Amino acid sequence: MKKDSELHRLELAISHFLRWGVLFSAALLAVGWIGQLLQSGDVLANFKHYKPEPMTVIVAKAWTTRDYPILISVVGLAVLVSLPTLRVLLTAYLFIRQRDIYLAAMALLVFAVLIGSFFLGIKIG
Amino acid sequence: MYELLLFAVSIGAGFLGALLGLGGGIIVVPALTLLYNVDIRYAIAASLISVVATSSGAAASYLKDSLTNLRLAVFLELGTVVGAVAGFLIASHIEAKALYLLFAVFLLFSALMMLRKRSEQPSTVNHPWADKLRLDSTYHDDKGVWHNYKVEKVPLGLFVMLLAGVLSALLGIGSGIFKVLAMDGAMKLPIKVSTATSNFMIGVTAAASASAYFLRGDVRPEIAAPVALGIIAGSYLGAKSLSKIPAARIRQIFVVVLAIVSMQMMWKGLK
Repeated sequence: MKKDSELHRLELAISHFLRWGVLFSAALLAVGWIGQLLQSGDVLANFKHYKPEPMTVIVAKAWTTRDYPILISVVGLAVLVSLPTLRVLLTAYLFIRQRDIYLAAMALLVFAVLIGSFFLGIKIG
Repeated sequence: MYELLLFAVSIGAGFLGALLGLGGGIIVVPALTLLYNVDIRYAIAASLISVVATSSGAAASYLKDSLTNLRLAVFLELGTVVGAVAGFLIASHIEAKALYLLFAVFLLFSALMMLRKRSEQPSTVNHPWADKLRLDSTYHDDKGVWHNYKVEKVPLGLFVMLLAGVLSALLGIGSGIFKVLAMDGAMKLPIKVSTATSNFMIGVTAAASASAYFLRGDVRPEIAAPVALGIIAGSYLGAKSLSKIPAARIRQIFVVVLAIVSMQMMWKGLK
């Protein structure tokens, strides 16, 4: 009754990918945040009111002012947000390997919606 | 100083979340808005990032334990991601006041759900979709004995997942409460399987709107970095001390705290 061993092996591969991905993004966020603290101090008071500003503008500003802590934090956040999306792609690969057309198609559809949501953020931003 | 305190609060949120089986969002959003007066839109976006972080970490452990039903998760994720995109679009046209009020209702609902005792009513028949997609599977209990289980009411489950996705994007939460409700309530999955599968799906649900919020610029690195770091550290510590802390008593206290915070959110929404 035990689970199919290939499925379990691939599940373990996804599990390792997620764990290392979280640790990698946490390392980037830690470096970025400590840098932010040393460079700018407390800035939370600047966010009491909502001022729409697309991520492209935030990055461009940080790039021009050589604000590396913000840039590193943004990369850390981007890695974190991308993890589930890549996980879905890995899952699709898993189902393709198992020749499970329906589930592979569903995983690819979920992946497409996730990619679409990135573009939606750019468009609405 | 305030940022260091926010980091400490986020550690607490991650710790409590891991202990009580909740995502950090239920604590992060009220903490950011009520304690730090951060605009609720920034709070929701930062919270979604923390949900992605905790869920990705938790999903790794659950996959290792062979409790997650990967096939069912992928199928139901269709509902949650479509719902999350819809929720993001709704949130773009909704006033902050409405978000406070909706969050207050969600907190009250969560408090009630925490008082509910989850019961297991395993099903013996599959819904036709479950047969077609082979959504039934096996899991092992605490003694290591493997059991088969079937999956009922698949369309209803998918519909609840759609709603869970909308609420996740609107409120910056993982919507685990709704997912679990659909999976062990309607689809009759074993509790261990529905908890693991829900945690596994939460990251994808949150990522669907988090990526949109991120590129729109609502995920401010100044807020999201300490929150995500604190939540990751806190949930790690929480998972480690799970067996050493009386979670049942903390749950009772937390229900009261949720009710009080709900009133405060409501007050802020009505002001």
